[in-house]
Amino acid sequence: MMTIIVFLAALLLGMPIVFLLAFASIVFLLQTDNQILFSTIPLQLFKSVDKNGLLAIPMFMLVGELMNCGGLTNRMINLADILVGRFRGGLAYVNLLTNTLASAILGSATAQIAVMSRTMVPAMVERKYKLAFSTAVTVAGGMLGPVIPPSMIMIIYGIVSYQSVAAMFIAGILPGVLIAGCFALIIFLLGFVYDYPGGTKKENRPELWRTLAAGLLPAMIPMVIIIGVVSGVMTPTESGAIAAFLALVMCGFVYRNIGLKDIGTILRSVAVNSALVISLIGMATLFGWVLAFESVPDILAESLQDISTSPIVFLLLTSLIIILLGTMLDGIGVMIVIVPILLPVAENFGVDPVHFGVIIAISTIIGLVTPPVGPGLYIAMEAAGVKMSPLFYAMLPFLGGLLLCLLIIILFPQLSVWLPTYFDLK
Amino acid sequence: MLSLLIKIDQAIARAESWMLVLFAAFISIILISQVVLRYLFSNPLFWAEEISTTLLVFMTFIGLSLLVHDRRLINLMFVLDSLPATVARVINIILDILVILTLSCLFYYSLVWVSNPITQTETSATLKVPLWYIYAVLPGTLLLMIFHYIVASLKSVFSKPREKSE
Repeated sequence: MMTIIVFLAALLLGMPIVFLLAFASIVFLLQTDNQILFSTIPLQLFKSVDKNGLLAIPMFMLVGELMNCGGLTNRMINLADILVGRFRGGLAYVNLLTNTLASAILGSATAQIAVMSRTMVPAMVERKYKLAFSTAVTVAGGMLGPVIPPSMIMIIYGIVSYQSVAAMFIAGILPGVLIAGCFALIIFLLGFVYDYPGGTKKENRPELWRTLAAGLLPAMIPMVIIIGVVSGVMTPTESGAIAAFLALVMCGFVYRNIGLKDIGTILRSVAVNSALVISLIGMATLFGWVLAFESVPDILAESLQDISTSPIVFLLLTSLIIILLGTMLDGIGVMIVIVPILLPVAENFGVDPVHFGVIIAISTIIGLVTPPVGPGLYIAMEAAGVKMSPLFYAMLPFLGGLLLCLLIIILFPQLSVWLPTYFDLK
Repeated sequence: MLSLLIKIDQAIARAESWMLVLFAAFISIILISQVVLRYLFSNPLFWAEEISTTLLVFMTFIGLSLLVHDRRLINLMFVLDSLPATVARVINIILDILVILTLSCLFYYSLVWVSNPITQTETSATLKVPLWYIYAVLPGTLLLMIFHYIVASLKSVFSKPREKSE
């Protein structure tokens, strides 16, 4: 009990999460008279970081940084423009489709919202779309990032929960399509309110083919990753390395838009961001190990089962907790803190771990764009130059749609579990 | 005195930053060549897995130390931001002390672990390097983190409230 109070107090007052997890572990061991375990803490901490599977994280970050730096998003926008730009309200769909394609590459919602707000919003405003609406569509598109494979949050979930990363990738496809379809429907329905401008005019044939080719080349990279991992030929780390190699060749030699000087900056940010995530994973693993010693997850599961034995109620509660935490913290941070505590409980309730991971991924993105703190909103506000309240009102239909999708996904585990089972990945 | 500490602090951070670039570069090169060698030449490097994982451990803890220096760790800001500045300062100092105590505790036990005679006889699986060379990164970087933390707190204690010395 005391550990919980100390944990929450230090969390709310702003102790860095990495050290909070270590601090809470120490308090918990002292409180339960397990001082003898202190001497094994360093070994546990070291072991939880010394894992081959974690190498996938810097590799995927490298792919994301290279694709970002190489200006590949612009080529994706042109590609999406050819495919759906002709319809009424075309650019809104272009935005959504580009985000769907880009999320396969970037895999981090905040990075994606930042990039897309800077490119897509000015383009839409120029063609007489409303600023708040354009930003809302961009943010909505960015929310697809963590669900559509290959996504960073799914990789990390796979690692911390000992699930196959391939299964997590495939599990995100149907929910991702559901959410994207729901957003497209919302854009269509909003057309009756907003009165969109018409679509773009058709370009001549050779131009068209060139844009198509330029856009499809970067789209190959996520395909390589997905096929490599799902076919079981490569480990996630290996497919990340291949994708990084392809991205490097593409940006360095085909498009020639990054030089040696950029590589240093890219490597530094890959190292720092990986360290941020991996140290969190290490400390959270340590904390989970400490909690397991006093079988805290079992006690938690029992007391939750006193409230209700329905896995659906449990999943709804979990989503609520994650959304609340997610309004204040980065999605990956929330997930790393939540999984070691709640995954054993979920298994007690008979919830499939893959299904649980999909729900966690979707819940973290809802928190990301919910005021008062939702980091995703702030990034978009800053990048697009729009105020909080008009943006939030424009966001409401999309948030409502996403909540509805989350509910559907919670109620029908098949949506996340069927494809991985079909491909025999579980 | 404080300015000297700050100078040392910055020098350490610069060194850490360069080491991180090197580690990230080595990891990328090793992993990419490993994939190429395995799938094109069916001749993987036997040491690649061990070395790259070890480099990752180094990168993580040194990176964490740099993150401490840059104050880029993930935490909740909004409660402190909504409190009066003086209260927030006091809470910050208390939190800093708690973190420094936590890190010192980890440092002490990792030092005991590394210098343990049994630990000292272990060697790594493929390259037979004494493992405590690698384990030593834990107490080493924890010490750096404690130093960064102390300097950062001293800076915030001795600087006047609005103008942060940078």
